[in-house]
Amino acid sequence: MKVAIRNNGLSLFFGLIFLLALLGQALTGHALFNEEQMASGLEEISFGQYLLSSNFAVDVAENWQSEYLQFLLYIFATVWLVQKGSPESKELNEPGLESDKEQLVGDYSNAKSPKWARVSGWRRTVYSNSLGMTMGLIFLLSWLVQSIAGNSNYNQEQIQNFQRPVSWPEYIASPEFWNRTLQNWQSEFLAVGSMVVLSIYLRQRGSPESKPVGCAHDDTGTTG
Amino acid sequence: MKTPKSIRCLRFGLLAVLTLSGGALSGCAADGTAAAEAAEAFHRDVASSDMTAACSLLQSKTREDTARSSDAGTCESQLEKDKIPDPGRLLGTEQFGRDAFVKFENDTVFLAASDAGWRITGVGCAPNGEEAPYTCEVGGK
Repeated sequence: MKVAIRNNGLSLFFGLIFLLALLGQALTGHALFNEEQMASGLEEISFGQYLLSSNFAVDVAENWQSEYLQFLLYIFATVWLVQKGSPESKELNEPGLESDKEQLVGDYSNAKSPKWARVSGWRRTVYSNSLGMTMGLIFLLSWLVQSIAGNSNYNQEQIQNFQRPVSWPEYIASPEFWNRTLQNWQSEFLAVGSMVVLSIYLRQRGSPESKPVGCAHDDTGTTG
Repeated sequence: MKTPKSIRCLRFGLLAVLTLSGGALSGCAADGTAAAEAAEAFHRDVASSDMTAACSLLQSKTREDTARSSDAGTCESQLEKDKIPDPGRLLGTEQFGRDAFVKFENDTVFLAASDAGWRITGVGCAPNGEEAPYTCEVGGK
């Protein structure tokens, strides 16, 4: 049991703080929603009703889509683009999909390689892109949920302000939708860009996200 | 090159998105029949001069504001003075969560859900261009 916890520490830690943060968001979101309801002379709703509301769904989904987009772009950009001195980058002469030998697929696979890495054809192609495809799928689903829940939430505000509701096509062309989207995207892109650049010059001893402390600034693709 | 750590939380992602989709879809436009019935009932009460019944279908704040704007200080007396149009045929209803928008040939009604059912927040409302709030005979801004 102890070994299992230690061996899965990262996923357990992030899973736990994710659930705690989501619960905190739900509790504070419910309180804020009811404050606004009272201010408009409307009735409060229960915590259960809030969890199923479009108000909660859009606030969660708009953050999720941007996080998954961030990693999707990072996964694909780092295949082709390199950054001299960054531990987040491959070696400068290695951009691209790399050879089968380097990727341990087909004839170069070993006994422990996943089955779909050993076979040829569509299964290897799918497995070779499975991380990016899954991140991309979650990004698209989250963005779709954001647009649907956002449309509903926006229309609730419209009706409370005695304005006409808008259709989904109108909503996804609206400043509201793109403002919610882009304010999340810009922060994600800044965070990734900062990590790529700062990790050239700064170190975090013991972290695989950093180069070893004594590594040269122009040493690319090494991790500590 | 290594994969950033957060990607390892991927397993939570797909399931969570699907769960969230349920929440999003639950907030989508419902059919709004109950809201439309409340709007029609209000117009029926006004047409039959049952202003007490009509006032009971107003949302509490709207009812209080209506009473305050009357010289006699009652919702009923104010409704008698207001020029609430004959709505004509029901054209459609849009409901989003706890808010609804009911369109008739000659009127638009805004409603909010309460524990007691749908209550009117604006009636006798007419548009002011595409984006501006409607102007309402009862309730509204």
